[in-house]
Amino acid sequence: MSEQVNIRELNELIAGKSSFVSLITHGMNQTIVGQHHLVESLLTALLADGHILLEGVPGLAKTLAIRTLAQLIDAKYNRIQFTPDLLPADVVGTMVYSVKNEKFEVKRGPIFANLILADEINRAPAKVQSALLEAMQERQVTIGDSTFKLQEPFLVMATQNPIEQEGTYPLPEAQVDRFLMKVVIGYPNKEEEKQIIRQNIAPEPAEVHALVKPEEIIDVRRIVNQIYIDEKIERYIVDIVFATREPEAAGLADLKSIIAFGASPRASISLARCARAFAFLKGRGYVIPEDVRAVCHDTMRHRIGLTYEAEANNITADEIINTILDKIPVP
Amino acid sequence: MTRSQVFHNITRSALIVVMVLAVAAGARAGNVKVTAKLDSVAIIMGNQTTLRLQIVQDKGVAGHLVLDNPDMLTPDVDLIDDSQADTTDLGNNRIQIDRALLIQAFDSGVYEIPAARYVVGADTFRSQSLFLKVIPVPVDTLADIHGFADIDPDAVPFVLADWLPDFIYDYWWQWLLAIALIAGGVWLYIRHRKGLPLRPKKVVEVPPYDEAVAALEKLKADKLWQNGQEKAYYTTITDILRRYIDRRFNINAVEMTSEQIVATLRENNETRAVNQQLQMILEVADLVKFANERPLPDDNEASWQRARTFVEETRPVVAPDKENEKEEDPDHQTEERSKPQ
Repeated sequence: MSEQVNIRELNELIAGKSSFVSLITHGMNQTIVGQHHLVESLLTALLADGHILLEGVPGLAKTLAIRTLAQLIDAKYNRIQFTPDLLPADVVGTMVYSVKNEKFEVKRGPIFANLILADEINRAPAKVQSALLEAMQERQVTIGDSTFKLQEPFLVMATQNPIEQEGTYPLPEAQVDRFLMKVVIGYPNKEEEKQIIRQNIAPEPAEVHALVKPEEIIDVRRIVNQIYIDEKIERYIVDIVFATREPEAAGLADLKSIIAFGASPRASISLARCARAFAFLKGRGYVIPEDVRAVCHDTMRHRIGLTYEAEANNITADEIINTILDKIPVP
Repeated sequence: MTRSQVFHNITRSALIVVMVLAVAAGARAGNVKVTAKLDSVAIIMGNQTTLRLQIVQDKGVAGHLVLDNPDMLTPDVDLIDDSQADTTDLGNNRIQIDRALLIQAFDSGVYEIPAARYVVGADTFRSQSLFLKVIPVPVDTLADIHGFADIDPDAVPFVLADWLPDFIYDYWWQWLLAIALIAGGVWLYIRHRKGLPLRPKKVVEVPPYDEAVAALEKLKADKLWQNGQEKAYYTTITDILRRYIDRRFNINAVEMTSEQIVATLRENNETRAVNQQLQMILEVADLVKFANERPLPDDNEASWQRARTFVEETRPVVAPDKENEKEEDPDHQTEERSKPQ
């Protein structure tokens, strides 16, 4: 009974904070035309306290999206362009000798910001990727003898170009797993593209003002963490994740030959966290199966390993997820 | 002429006759010539070589090669193959006959291959005899003795006929028939003992409407919400409706969310009138199932009633003539029933 009251209170609390979501969404939509899924995913990751791996061809407003979000929440934003000659110190920072003070001083790297755009993360060698991913995971950086906590909220949006694979360093599965979501974005439609042209050739581009403070994000995260997940939903999440590991048990024996390895327990955690954040965006204090399905592709696609057979037949992780969702009974 | 002179003349004449005969015989013998040659005079034991015979003779002379034993030239040299004679015209009324004999020896030693005999009428012509040396296989007595490979069973193809006794193999179909008859008899006996009918009854699938109505009535009788089990009550209602929609409209409703079911049925003309009812049930059910909401008793009753209405309103309509046919045939099972007027 107390749980019932809590959910009602939570619903009221969320209703009170609904302005938060509509403000940011409206602000984003003023600058970013189309790409509603990207905007929604960014907000989901921000509320679920995770990081995003973004895949899409150049010119799809990836940089603009994260920069706009940073401006809207009045957060510090940095962009790191990953190149083959980048060093870990270029990301996290290093010790620099100060002639004036006659001692080594810490020079903080671009990772010290709220929102980071790690552009073309697969262009840098593994050691640089590791440095970034470690900072993402630990939320702290060690330079010399000193350890520095990264400021909250902290969100990294890393991008990958799916077309140019020449001279790249693909992220290992263990590293990719650390991203809460992998979002794939596509081209806008004709109407949206027309609007993009108008917006970009306008004499005065739309100004973006800070609408929310970073502290509010942290407050909202506390509410998100209270959103109720019923045992039925937990079972649904586990069924979906287990279907990637033991497809025969879920009556999907055909998938066995195309899945090299299934999603990790981190996938279950991510699915639950994202479903909660998504429920918040929809103004609910509890998670329903729709929330799970809405974030399922983004949280699972980078956690399912495909076999050579699947790659040879152009079968994608998204198709596997669709098959699983069509098979697992909804509670 | 003295006696000695007469004797001398006779002797000389006899000598001349003998010489003439000898020359004539020599001339005849010179017309057939038999020669033999070995491809290899030394072979390793077990190996083979060819003995080539060449006979040169006048045309029209009939002769034949004599082999004492068609399988061996000597007790130690086996004759493996004998080629057909190959005749070549040499001109000047002469021909050449070639024969190739493939030979093999398994014991080491030096063997004399006897002269080949070619018989023409009463005359026998011989080739020269040859010697064949058979060399033993060198064995390194200091080397390790290697293990022998097992017999590969796969190398020997399995033939059922080799394994079956003749009395089964020869009368195989009679045996099969007998086994089938015995198995059938045992099956009938077991069914008879268990009191089962000889022909299994056809499993009749309950039509979706009947199944849903029966399940809803059972749910009502179970009095779940009255006993504080609202979650189980709404879970059962949604399960009944999902299964009904799945079977009735062939929509994958069991694996769909509430929103997806409503969106899918929105396009369906048959459910247009009751879509609102369904949406209300699913919304309340989601609240109960996933937000621990406890609706009022009236709401619980209303949800059941809405579910019943949905099933009733979407019941399939059967054409009257089809209905009559079914009434005439009482055994006929159908999934469809006429809608009450």
